[in-house]
Amino acid sequence: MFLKDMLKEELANSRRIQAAVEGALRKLPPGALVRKKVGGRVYCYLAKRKAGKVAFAYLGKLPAGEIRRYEEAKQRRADYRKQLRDLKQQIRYLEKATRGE
Amino acid sequence: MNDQQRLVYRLFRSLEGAGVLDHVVLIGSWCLLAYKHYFAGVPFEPGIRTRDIDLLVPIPLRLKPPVDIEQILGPLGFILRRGGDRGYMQFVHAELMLEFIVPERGRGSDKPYDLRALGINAQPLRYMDFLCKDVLRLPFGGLDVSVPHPARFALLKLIVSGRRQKPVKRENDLRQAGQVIRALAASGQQEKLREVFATMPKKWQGDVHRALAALPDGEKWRQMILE
Repeated sequence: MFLKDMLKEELANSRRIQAAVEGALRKLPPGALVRKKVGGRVYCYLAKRKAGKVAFAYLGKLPAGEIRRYEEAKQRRADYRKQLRDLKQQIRYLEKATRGE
Repeated sequence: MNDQQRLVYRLFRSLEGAGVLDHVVLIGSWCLLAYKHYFAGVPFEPGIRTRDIDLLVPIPLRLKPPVDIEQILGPLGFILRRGGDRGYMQFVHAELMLEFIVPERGRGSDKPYDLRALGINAQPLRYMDFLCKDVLRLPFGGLDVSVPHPARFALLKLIVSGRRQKPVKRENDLRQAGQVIRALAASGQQEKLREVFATMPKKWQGDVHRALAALPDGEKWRQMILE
C-alpha cells in the first residue's frame, strides 16, 4: 500500500512536470539556425518545417549573441524533448503500476 | 549511478561553480545518500527517494556577488515553475523537482521569501533553524555538501510526521526517521539523539512522544532516544 501510494504521488508529479516541459518547449523560438557559406562568407538561415517540408528563411549575418541564442534554444529543445520521452515512459510505467484500485 | 543521481551531482557542481553550494544545506530524503558516508561501517541503506530535492538557505544570506539561479539551472534542463497559490518557485526536470526553503521565523507567513542574492523566492518553513544549528559537511558526488546532523534529521522527521495530511508522506517520514535512528544507535550515537532531544522545546518533545507512540516498535525507539 505504501509503495503504491508513493508511486501515485510520483505519477501526479510526472504529469505536472510533463505540463511544465511542454509549456517550456512551446516558448522556445521555432526553427533551427543553419549557416551556409557562400563565396567565403557565412549567411544564416532559419530552417523550419512547414506542412512536412523544410523551408529556409534568410536571416543574413547575425551578431554572435543572436547566434548563441539560437544554439542554446536548439540544445534546450533537444533536452526538453528527451525529458518528454522519459516522462511519457515514466507515466506509462506508473499508470500500469498503480492500476487496479 | 542512475540518471537522477547524475543530475544531482551536475546540479551541485554547477552550484559549487557559482559559489552557491557553501550557502545551502541539503535537506529531505536526499540527505540519506550523504549519510551513507557518515554511517560507513554500520548497516545503512538509503531508502526510497522521491524526485523532491530541497535546499535550505540559512538566512540572512551573505552571498556576493549575487547570482541568477535560473541561469545556472536552465542549461541543466531545469524549468522554472510557480507552484501553489502563492507562486513559490520550483525548478522541475523529468528527474528532479528542486525547491529552495528558508527558515520561517516569528509569526510566520505563507508568502514566498524573496532571496534577491539568488534571484528567486523560497518557501518559509517551520523548524528549519533547528536543522541549521548542527550542520555537517559530507562527501556527495565528489563534493562536500552541507547536511543537518542525522540526529536532528531523524527527530524532525518524527515531529513533522504528525503534521502530514497524506498518510504516505507520514509513513515515509517515519521510515526515514527509523532508518537514521537505527544507524545512530548502531554507531553508538544514542547520546547525541538524547542531547538534541533535550534541547528541544517541550511541545516538540511532545510531538516526538506522540509520533513514537503511534509506532509498533515505538517503545524500542523511545528507549534509544530518551533513556
